[in-house]
Amino acid sequence: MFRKILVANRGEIAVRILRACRELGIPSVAVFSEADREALHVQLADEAYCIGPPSPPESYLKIPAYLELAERIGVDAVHPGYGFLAENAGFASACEKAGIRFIGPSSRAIAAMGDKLEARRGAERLDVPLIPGTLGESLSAAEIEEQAQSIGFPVMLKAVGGGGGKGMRIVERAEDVRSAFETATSEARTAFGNGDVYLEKCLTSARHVEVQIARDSHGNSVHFYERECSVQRRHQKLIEEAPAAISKDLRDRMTKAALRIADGIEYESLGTVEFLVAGDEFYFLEMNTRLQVEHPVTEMITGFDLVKLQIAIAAGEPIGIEQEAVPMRGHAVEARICAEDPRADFFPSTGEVTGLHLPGGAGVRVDTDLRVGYSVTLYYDPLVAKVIAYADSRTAALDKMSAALRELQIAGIRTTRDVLRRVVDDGEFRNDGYDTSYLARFLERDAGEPDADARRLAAIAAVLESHRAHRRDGLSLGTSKDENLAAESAWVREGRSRAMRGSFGA
Amino acid sequence: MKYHVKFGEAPAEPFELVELDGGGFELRDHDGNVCVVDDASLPGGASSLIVEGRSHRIIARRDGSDIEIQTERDTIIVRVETDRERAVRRTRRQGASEGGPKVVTSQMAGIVVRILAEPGTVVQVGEPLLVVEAMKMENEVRATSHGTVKEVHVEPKQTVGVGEKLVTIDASESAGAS
Repeated sequence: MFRKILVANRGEIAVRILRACRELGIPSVAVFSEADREALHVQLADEAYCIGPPSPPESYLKIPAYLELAERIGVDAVHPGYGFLAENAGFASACEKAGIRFIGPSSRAIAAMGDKLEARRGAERLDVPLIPGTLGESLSAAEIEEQAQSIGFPVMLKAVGGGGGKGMRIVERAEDVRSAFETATSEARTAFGNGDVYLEKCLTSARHVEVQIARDSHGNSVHFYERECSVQRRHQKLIEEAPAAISKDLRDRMTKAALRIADGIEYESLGTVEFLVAGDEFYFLEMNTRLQVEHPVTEMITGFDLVKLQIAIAAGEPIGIEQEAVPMRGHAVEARICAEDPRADFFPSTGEVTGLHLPGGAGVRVDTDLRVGYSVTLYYDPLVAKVIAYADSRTAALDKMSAALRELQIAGIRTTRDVLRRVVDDGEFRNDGYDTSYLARFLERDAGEPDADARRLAAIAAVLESHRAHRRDGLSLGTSKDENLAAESAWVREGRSRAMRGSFGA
Repeated sequence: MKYHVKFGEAPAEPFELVELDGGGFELRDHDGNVCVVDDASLPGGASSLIVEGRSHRIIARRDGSDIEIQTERDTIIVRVETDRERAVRRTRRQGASEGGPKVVTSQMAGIVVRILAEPGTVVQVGEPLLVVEAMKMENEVRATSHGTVKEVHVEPKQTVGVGEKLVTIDASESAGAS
């Protein structure tokens, strides 16, 4: 096993990985930007080092800083998490050259799958069905326009250099191709340093289903079933589930295809093969050569700790799990709580978290690094917490999620909590069979309007808040000045003593 | 103590609040319905309210003259004013005209990527004006009123903060545009 693991990330995923290191008894190292000195991941690591200013290119994305640090403090493995450098073949290769184990696949595999065109060609060679689209390099706006015409609208423009919704645009009409091409190219260049885009036919009624696989250096491969990730807004997943509502036959064909890719490219790590499912057919989308945000739902239904497995594979250990020994029990759901304001078109909501209550209880898991005093900035991903609910059936898991989201309180910033809860309670969502067009449709009809009881409660709460504010400000409330002062100082005393106690009601 | 409560553009509803001797409050709405509220204030703007025996978890947050109330299910924006604040606002409002220049401000902090509507462009509600990048995503800022773009206050690559002026639209010059 490793001597010391450096976690080249921040936020909830750094916390998740550090927890695995602590369980395995492997000494761990956190890095932090100047904005993250107080972050939870810094506290959970055995060692912590500042690697630069808040802006990611000057800190979390700075490859030389990691290499220098690793050499200086004797690190023999680096876990990149997701995002940042997780799918950066250059970083993996630099680690390989420096004799540091990159906890992920080889730089060659990352490069092969990171180039979305090469991945498409690879999948085709391995007899995995592809979505109709282009396979050529560096297409110009004119070529894209021409291809779009021949494939037929709507089409999807995608970045060759990476995923996650960045550099991705749906185009409905020929006259919009050029402007979409420009936006996608510019976004892709910013996000991945590569402005190239390719084209795929946009399947309008399809589901996004992905298969979790693992393959070790001894050639053993195993899958952990699938995740249903069709609740998406602008290609960003909001809610994920495991398992998906698919037939056993389709599951069989998809998991086999995913393993065919893993074996075909001699992949060595955890990985996710993403598919689009339309009816009873499936098509290869891409392979993510890293730990996924939504890995917890798979952990819940199979009982395996995927991060510990990923570390073990990187250390050269065999997976040691027979396919038949991977169970699929119950149902798990994950809701991504993002610091975004759904009423302002999901604009990022920045600010300081002034109060926090996380849900709990049997079957509820919260992966987060939130705390009172946490500052949400524009430097980093808006994902601030993942709420995961597990129960014996889908309905029970969704009921548990609904209750957990009602219990969750985050003060100081706006989040996606309420809209996620309304989705989880929504009839269409509950009746299975939803696809990637569902969320847009839901948001269209979701007025988000509170009912009369909610408004009355809000009125009462707001009046009391105003009243408190007036007392704090010492305005005359018709009582004598002395009484007023006495009352105020009592409030202040109470407030102070409660502030000392920490989170709400705890 | 009298408070006027407003939801959006709906007419204000008056509430009369009385502090009870043994702690807690009595609230009377304009229909004469009375409820007794016990309020335990927690840190961070949170509170536990017991309204006529029903327990509620609340987070209240001031946002300018609005109060944002987060219940277990909803986030609701409420405007609350005392008699005096109401009178002050009404006086101020006199003389303010309909139409005229409308300023589109940034709802988030970010970096201006592209300007899509130059001065002189006639825009409809919802038409994209410029693109602001935040958290690596490009977001289109859209027109909030019909009119002619009078002035663009920002330039590409400029960093903008929340509430910063982006574009002024002259609504009076396109009265018939909708």
